[in-house]
Amino acid sequence: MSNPLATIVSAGVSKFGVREGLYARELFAEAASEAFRECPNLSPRKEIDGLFVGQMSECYEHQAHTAPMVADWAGLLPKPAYRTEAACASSGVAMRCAIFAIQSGMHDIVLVGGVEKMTNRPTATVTEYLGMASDYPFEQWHGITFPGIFAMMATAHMAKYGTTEEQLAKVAVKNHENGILNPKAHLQKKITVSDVLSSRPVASPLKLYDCSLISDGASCIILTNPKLAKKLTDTPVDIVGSGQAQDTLGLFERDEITAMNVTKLAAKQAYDMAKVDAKHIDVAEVHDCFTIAEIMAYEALGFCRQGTGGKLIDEDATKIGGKIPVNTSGGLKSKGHPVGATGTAQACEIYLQLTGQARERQVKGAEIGLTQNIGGSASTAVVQIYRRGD
Amino acid sequence: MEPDRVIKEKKPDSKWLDWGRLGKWNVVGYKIIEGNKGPRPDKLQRARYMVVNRPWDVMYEHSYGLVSRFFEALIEKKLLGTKCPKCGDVFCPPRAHCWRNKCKLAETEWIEMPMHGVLHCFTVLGFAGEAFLSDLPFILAYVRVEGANTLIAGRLVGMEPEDVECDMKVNVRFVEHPSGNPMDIYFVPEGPPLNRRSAEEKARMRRQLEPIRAWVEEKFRK
Repeated sequence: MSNPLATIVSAGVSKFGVREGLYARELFAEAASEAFRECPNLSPRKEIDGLFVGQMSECYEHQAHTAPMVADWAGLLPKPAYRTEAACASSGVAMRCAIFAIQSGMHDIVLVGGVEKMTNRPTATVTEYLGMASDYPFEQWHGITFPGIFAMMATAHMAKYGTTEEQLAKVAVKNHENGILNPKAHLQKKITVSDVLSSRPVASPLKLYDCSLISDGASCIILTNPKLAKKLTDTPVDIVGSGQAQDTLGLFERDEITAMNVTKLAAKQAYDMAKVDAKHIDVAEVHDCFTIAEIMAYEALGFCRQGTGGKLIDEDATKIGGKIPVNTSGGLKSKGHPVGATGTAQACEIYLQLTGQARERQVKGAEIGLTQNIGGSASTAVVQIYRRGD
Repeated sequence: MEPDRVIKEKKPDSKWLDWGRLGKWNVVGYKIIEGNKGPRPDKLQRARYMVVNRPWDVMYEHSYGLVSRFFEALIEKKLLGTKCPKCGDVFCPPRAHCWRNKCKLAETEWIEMPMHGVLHCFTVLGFAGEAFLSDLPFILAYVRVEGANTLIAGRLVGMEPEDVECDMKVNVRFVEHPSGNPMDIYFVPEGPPLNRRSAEEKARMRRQLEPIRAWVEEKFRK
């Protein structure tokens, strides 16, 4: 196994959900406060020397220049702060930038997080804001939505591999079961396959329960080098692999739309760097913005062969207690999807799992974890691999 | 626990709802609310906050850049694509430069495309952005126009949603009065349905779309 790229010493997540009466910056402060509280050996104001934040859109609160704003609300002024934008992968990319900063030695201890405040706008307006991450004019102008784009992948996947709506529904049922065990999740609600199948079509074949949630929320981790980590915590989690790849912005220009090729490329980089393989992963958080995306992630990450993602969910292999538990947090589907916060929220869940703090949803003996965070129609894919530190 | 309540409210005049331009930077309505809030659902506390209505809208003015000719041709009811002079890849919708690294961003050449192709994949939208809500439910398809290496998006009409399937042959049509909008083209099926879907599946989709049709009828048609 390889040397760590960087080490996580603490993590914090705000409650995800409809957080009426709070600004994005206040949600970020809620997450940062938890991360600080969980790392009592750290003096944040004195020792944190940089902040990376992922946020997708200025539209919700008419507020750009997010980096200094959240640095202020986290009590970190005048430390340098950087914002990244990669649609739903914004904070996954922020994590990579933070890793570069630690690796270069330019920063020693950084706060990396993400935030999005979304529920203050009507759903049709949010749909349009999110749609800005697809191609203008050849997708947006036709009124396509992100559920629509993933529905395109779904119809193609179903036609090519025989994947069924029932298999998609099982992804939603599993993630809702996990979400019930996560007090920070947006929804704590048990659902059945027939609830999913009979829910309202949003972009057929995807129905309401195939779609992730529009949520408010923030998340963050504290990242440092392995040497300093030893002074700060007894339960570090090392990031041992990181990969990223890009594809065309529009889905209509892909060679193959059923394969999520960029996730494959990002995963290969991360696996090679970590010197591990898909079979070594004990727990994974994948980007289930829509149920079809989780099925495609199984295949692209090598948890099963191309085209057999539906079979993997049929076998219950990705439930807690299964061969490879996926989205123990409830995933974007049940935990919620404040888009900018999602990448680091996935890392927070893996941190809890690898440090044995995931309570009722704990995967026993988890040592190696993985996150997969995608932006847009998987125009950006970020894969990171984590190992329990010593 | 006590439900949320509005403490004070001034409703915006209806003109502000549709025409934000006039109201930029004005607070045209507000609410002061007291409700049960907090990060822990089991330990909510009464909290008070203010919500305002502030209209903000925008008229975009932008060019179609290096692929402007595609949109100009739409007005003349011609479908254009571009072709890389080095590798021969054909792009419809057009790209001004080839996508292959080995072609080193070669400038593409304009070609006229045939008015038919194959439907690669599709969706039946049951929800959309504000401007498209009144059209629901509608079928969007990604079609490979014959000879193209890429897909082009557009509406499919002339077929019930439950009959649409991948790999169908389609024809490209123009709207009566094109305006240089990507939506100037749409697709119609070339032949009868492939009928690979079971009668049960079709019935399920029809049932699923009923409440959407009823909602649109209620909201926009009456």
